[in-house]
Amino acid sequence: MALLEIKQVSRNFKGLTALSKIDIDVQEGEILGIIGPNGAGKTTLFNIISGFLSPTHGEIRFRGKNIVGLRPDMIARKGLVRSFQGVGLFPMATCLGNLILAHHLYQEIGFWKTMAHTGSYGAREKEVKAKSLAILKTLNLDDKKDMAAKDIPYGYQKMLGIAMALATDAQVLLLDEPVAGMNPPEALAMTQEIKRIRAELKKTIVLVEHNMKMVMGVCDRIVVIQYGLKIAEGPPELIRNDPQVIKAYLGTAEAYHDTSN
Amino acid sequence: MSFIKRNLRGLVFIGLILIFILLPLIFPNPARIGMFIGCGVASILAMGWLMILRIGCLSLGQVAFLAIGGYTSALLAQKAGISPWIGLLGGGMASGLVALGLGVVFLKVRGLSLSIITFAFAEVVRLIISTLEFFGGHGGIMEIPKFNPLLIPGWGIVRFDTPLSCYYILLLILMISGLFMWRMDRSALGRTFMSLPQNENLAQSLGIHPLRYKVISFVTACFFAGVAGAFTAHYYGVLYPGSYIPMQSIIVQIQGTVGGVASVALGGLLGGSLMVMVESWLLNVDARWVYIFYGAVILAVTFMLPEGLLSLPRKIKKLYKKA
Repeated sequence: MALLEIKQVSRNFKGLTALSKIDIDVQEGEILGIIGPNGAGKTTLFNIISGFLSPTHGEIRFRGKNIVGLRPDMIARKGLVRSFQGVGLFPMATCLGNLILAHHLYQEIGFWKTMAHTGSYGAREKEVKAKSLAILKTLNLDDKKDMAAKDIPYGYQKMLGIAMALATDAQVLLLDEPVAGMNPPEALAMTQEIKRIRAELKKTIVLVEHNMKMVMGVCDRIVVIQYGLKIAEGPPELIRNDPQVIKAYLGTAEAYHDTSN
Repeated sequence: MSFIKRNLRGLVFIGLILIFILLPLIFPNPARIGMFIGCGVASILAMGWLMILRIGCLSLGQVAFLAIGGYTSALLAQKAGISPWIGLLGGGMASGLVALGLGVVFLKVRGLSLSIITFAFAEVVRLIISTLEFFGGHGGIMEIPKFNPLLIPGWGIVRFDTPLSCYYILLLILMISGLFMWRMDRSALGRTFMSLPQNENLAQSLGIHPLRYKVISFVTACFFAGVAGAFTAHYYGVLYPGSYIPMQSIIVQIQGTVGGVASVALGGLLGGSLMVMVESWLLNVDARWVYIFYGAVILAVTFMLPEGLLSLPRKIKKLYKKA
C-alpha cells in the first residue's frame, strides 16, 4: 500500500475545473516530482493535500486513512508538512527563533503546563534549542542564527523554510517550488540537500518545480499535469521522451530556457 | 556583581513591588493615592491591549471589557447581594466569556476589519448600558456597595473603606495579572502568538490551530480588563456609561504604544502609569490639554520611537556606540 494515495481528486472553482480526477500514489521513501505549465493545478493540488482547500470530489488517504476535511494543522500533526511557494518563514524572528518556533508549533504544549513551567518545561526548552542549532549546522546556517530571517539571502531563506518543515519530524514533506528564483549554485545546493534529507532522514518528498534540470536530477518519479489533467507519469527518462509531455511543456522556447539553467 | 546579573529579572520584580507597596506611604495624600489607582487600572488595560496586539489584532474596544466587568460586579452586588470580592472574579469571568464568544466568531477576521469590529463592539456595549433600564440607563448605577471588611487570620477584621486599602487591593490584582501575562508572553505561548501575525498559514501548516491561540490571548486580556472594571465599580461606588466612550479605548491604545511592544507586562505598566500621571498633572493645570497631550504623544511616539519607551535604552546605546 502506498503511503499517500490521491484518488480521483477534482476541484472546481465556480465552473472552472482546476483539477480533474487526479490519481497519484506516493510510495514510502521516494522523491516524487509534480510538473506542468503555469496554471496546470499543481499548487491547487498541494493546497488540497495539505488541507488549505477541500477537493470537490475524491479522496486522499495517508497511511490508509482519509484526510479530506481535516484542518491543515491536523494534517500536519499526522506527519504531512508542506513548505510554501516564495518565502515561507517568520520574517521578524531570528533564524534560530524560526526553528525553535517550528518545534514549538509542532509539539504544542498544554496551556497550564506552559504557564506553570512545571517539570520538564525548562529541560525541553534547552533540548529544542540544541536540536534547532544542530539543524542549522547541517544546513550551514549556524553563522546566521542571530540574524532576522528577513535579512538573510534568498537562497538561505528557502533553505530555512525547508529546515522548519524538517523540525516537525513529519514523514512526508510537500515542497512547493523549492528552487524557484535561485541562482544555479543555490539550486545545486538545494538539490543536494533534498537528496541528503531523503537518504539520511528517510523522508518521503513530493515537490512541485519548474526547474527541469533539478526535477530530472532529483526525482525518482514524475507526474505531469496539464489543464488539471494528469497526462503522464513515470521515471525521468520516460517523461523526458514522452511526446505528449514535450508538446505540452518541454517543447516551448521558455521551457527550453528553463532546462538550460 | 554576577549575582545581580544572574538574578536581574527577579531583583527588578522585587524592587518594583517594594516601590509599589511603599508609594502610598511616601505620598499619603488621598488625591495622589487616587492617581496611583488610576495608574494601576490603566496598566492592566494597556497590558491586555499589548497581549492582543501580539496576535496581530489592534484592539479599539478594550474599554468595553472594563464596562462588562464593572456592570456585572455592580449588578451582582446590588441585585443579588453578592460580595464585591466574589464580584471581582465574576466581573472578570463575564468579560472573559463575552470575549470567548466574540473571539471564536470574529478572530478569524484579520487586520483593519478586526479593529473595526472591536470598535463597533465597544460602541454596542456602551449603547446597551446607556439605554436599557436594567443597566441604569444614562444615569448609570449609583450606590454600588464598597468592598466589605474581611476577617484575615492574624490581622483580625480588616476594613477596606479608605483609598489606601483599595490601593492595596488593586496592587494585588495588578501583580497577579502582570505576572500571568508576563509568564504567558515569555513562554512558548507568547512565541506562538507572535508567529501568527507574521505568517499565519505557515504556523498552521506546522501544526497549530491559529484561532485557538488567538482566543487564548484575547480571553486572557479581557478577563483581566473585566477584573479591573469590577474593581473600579466598587472603588468609586458609581458607574456611568459616559466613562466608556471610544476615546477611552484609544487612550488605552496610546498607553500601550507608548510603553512598548518589547514586553507585554512591562510595556503596559510603563505606558499606563506614565500617561496617567502626566494626565492627572495636566488636569490640574487645564483639562483641555489632556486630549491635545494624547494626540501629541501618539504622533511623537509613532514617528520617533515606534517600538515605545522600552526600546529607548537600546536606541541610546546605539547612538552611544556611533559617537
